[in-house]
Amino acid sequence: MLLIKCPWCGNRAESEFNYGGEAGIARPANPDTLTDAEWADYLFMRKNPKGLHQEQWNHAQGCRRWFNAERDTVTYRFTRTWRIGEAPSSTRDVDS
Amino acid sequence: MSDSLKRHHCLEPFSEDSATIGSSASAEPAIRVTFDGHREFYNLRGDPADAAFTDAVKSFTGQSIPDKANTLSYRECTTCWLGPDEWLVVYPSFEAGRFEKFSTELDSTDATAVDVSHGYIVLCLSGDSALDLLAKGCTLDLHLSSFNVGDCVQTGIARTAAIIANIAEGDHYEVIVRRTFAEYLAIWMRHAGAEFGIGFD
Ligand SMILES: [Zn+2]
Repeated sequence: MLLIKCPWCGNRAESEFNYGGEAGIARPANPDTLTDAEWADYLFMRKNPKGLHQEQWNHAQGCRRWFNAERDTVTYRFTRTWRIGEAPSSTRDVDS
Repeated sequence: MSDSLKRHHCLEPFSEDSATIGSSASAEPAIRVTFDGHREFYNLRGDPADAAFTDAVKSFTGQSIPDKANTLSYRECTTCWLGPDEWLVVYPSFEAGRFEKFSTELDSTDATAVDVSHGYIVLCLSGDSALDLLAKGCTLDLHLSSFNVGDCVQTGIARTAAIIANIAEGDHYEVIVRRTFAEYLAIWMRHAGAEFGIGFD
């Protein structure tokens, strides 16, 4: 069973969580000034890397909070998780 | 005007249909389940760093809200940690006007309380094999080294979202579940508990 460390509840089974897409995408402050291409980039374009990826996850069957996670898309290993609004720790829990 | 109305809950038909199931049917079953459908539940949202909020709750319930994740505090009522700004306050029985008083108590704060009593029912499990039964349906480590009196966890049991509260010494556990899922979960327990011997009251 893959364990994911909720920043509030600690390690829980993957089946308690939902994936919420790439992390750190901020809504543009002035949408009116954006070109169509810039707006499309905000809405649709995502990184999709092979390797470490920063993502949003929700502890759906636990505390129901959103948090950030860094996951290796090749190994599926979660290297660190952190609360929304906080910075990630400078060290990783595990290497990817 | 009626003199009094009997309060009912959704698992009463289930109790009547379910005799003791399992190998030890003649003896006392290893797991006993009772349903408590008459509690009061308040969902509480507030900032634990806001003294006006925590003081108001403490003066009403007589106990501090638990600030440690996945724990509960217990006195006249049970207050379960649900999230960093969310708790579930559980009173053992209904009392007319109590919620209104509680709500008024929070008026001067930024916190909110919502009466969600209609949404939940409690399955009270006791017996030597109660944890073995829960362990069959959830992924948590329920061993004594990680699950003790005063702990309360939200998790999935047999794909149903539930809260498991460890409220007393001995093998007593409360499973707080949404009423609409309660019958499904009770049926699951009847099947999953057969190998230990399970009885419903
Ligand atoms: Zn959590």
